[in-house]
Amino acid sequence: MTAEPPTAAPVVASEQVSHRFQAGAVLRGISLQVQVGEHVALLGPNGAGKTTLLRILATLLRPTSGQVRLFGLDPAASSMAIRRRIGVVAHHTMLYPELTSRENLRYYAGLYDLDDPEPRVQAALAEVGLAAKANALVRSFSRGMQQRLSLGRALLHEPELLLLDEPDAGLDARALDLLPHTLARAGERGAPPAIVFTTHQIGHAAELARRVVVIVAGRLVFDGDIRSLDSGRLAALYGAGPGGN
Amino acid sequence: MAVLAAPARRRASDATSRNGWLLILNGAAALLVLATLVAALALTPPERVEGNVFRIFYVHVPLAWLMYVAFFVVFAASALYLWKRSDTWDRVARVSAEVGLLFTTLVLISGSIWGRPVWGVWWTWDARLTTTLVLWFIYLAYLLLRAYAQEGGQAPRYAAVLGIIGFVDVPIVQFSVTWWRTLHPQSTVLESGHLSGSMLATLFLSLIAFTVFGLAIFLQRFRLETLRDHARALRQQLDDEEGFA
Amino acid sequence: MATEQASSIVVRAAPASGWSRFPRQTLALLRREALTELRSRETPVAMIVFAFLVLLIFSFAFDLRSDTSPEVLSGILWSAIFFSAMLGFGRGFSGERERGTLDGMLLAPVDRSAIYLSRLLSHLLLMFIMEAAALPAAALLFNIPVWRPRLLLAVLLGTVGFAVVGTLFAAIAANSRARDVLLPVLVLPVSVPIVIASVEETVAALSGPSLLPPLPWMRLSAGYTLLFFILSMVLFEHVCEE
Repeated sequence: MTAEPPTAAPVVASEQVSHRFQAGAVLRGISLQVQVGEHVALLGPNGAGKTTLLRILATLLRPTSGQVRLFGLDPAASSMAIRRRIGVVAHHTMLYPELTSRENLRYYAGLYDLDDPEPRVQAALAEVGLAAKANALVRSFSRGMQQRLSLGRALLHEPELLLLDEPDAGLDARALDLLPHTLARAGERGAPPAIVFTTHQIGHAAELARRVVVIVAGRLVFDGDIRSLDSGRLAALYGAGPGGN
Repeated sequence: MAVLAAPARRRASDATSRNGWLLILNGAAALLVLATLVAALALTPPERVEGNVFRIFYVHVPLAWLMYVAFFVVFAASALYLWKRSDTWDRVARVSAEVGLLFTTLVLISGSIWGRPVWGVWWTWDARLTTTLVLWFIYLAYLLLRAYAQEGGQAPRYAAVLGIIGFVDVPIVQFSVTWWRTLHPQSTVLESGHLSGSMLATLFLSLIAFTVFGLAIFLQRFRLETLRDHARALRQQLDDEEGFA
Repeated sequence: MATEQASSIVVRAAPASGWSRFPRQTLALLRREALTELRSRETPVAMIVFAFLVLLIFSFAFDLRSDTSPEVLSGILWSAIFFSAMLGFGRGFSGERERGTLDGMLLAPVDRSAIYLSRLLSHLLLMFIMEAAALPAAALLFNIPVWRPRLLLAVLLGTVGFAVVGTLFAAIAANSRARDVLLPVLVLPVSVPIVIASVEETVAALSGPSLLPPLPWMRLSAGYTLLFFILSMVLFEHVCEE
């Protein structure tokens, strides 16, 4: 284990982050911090604002109020420096169906301006179990295969923060097995990335993270150890949310 | 209990004094325009070539001037909005665009009315009328863009981009249309002819009168939009609060 | 092998060189754009067919004969080019948005103007492909000498100038309602100078000798293109962010 340089700043530091769309407020005063290498599960009912929060952390959205710092940097000022260090897996795979998996990864390697793209692309394909399908069009892939490739895409540039929006949704059995394994492996190579992921399945969450943050109707209602949260307590949190049903 | 935002606490006396100023401005505008009409219709001699039809000149020219001023205001407010991201500048831009479209329409109509008795047609593709028509379409595009924007906050930004591009385009359109027309000469409407002393004085008066008039319209509209925005903000606040009743 | 790779892969803190990153990323974007457009072939084919149809409809609309004036022919040609171009521009960004690949671009540390530039070049490629089919068709149908260098130059300038503003507004329209209608509404008024310049320069090319010093029309096209290219590069990031 190489000694890591002491990092003063947490990977994510949000301070009273709120966001409203024209239709209504979606996040209200979210304050949380994620440290280097920490894994955090984001739970909450549909429409709670988890995806919006993730998009804000991914610098895709500017919150209507509050402050976000990523790696100690302000997204409004240093967006490029931040983006280099973030990887995102979302509902959309962000892959081009008419390109092969290798071409897709090569494209993203170019986008992130990585040195030595070919070996990296090859390694990424191998890691997600798609080396045999390097020259197959993504159009021909199953949903699970696409999600695996999407994960490979997200890890290609060795991000320090990995954001996953419902990574277990639509994955086949093989991919579901692969997920914690791949994420663990990503940690082995260099500094382990901090991981924030949303999910509905508390069982999967426990496999990947010890800390869980629960968001209901845009507010942070629980932030603590996942083992202290059973399905009964979770249901209570969901139900007791403001105006919740 | 819902807590209403600051704007509602504005004192009644403030509102009245603001109304007072607007009232004075409206009154001044009405008087000046009336004076202009009197001067234009009664106090100036008929033009040598065109006769009494020429009198529309005193309305047409200041309207054209206002059209360009409004366009410039859209440009400046758009640039300031992109720089400062303040809603006020966006409001200035969109009000100015509305008012500008009105003036442009009036310029087209007055130009058309002018041309009819002189040249026997309601419309000629002469340089100035054509340029004004293109300008009309750019204003319209601005308003349609705002009308067709999606729910997110992009409408002000997109409109600002168009506001800047449109304005930069105006002199180029002017030049290209004028040069196009010199290649294919046609009957030109809107000759200025020779202006005698009283005519110049009336023109000067009309410019001032219509500028005041334009300013009054703009401020009325701006005030209306400001109130509308505040009402919307209050409604949103109430909705948010209600979520936690 | 894994350890070799591990030692060669380093978490990068800063880019190798800020300035050379831009062309490399633009190239990566452009390569992918070319691959997607050409592999699916939908857009180029649709544009070519549409251009042909416009030429056809106009020949009925104007009852063209062999003595048709250069003005009419020039107008028809450019109508086909501009309308077909708008058809092509409309498809790019909305497809990206729907597939989430736009997010993929926005998440990356890419200058937004690189996205604009690569999209512009891709649009130019599409337009050139369409023109490569439409010009010979026009030459055949209307007996016009498209092979004159002056005419080809006029087409080149008009194409680039139109694509410069078309690309910017396509990005705006793609994220709005009624996007197919909104795009022409946005582009056409602003592109009036380039439309006039292209049509007039083509008329001169069709009726006059084939080689002549460039008229001011060409300078207008060039100036317009340069001005709006710079403006679009600067303003594009405002179009991109959410």
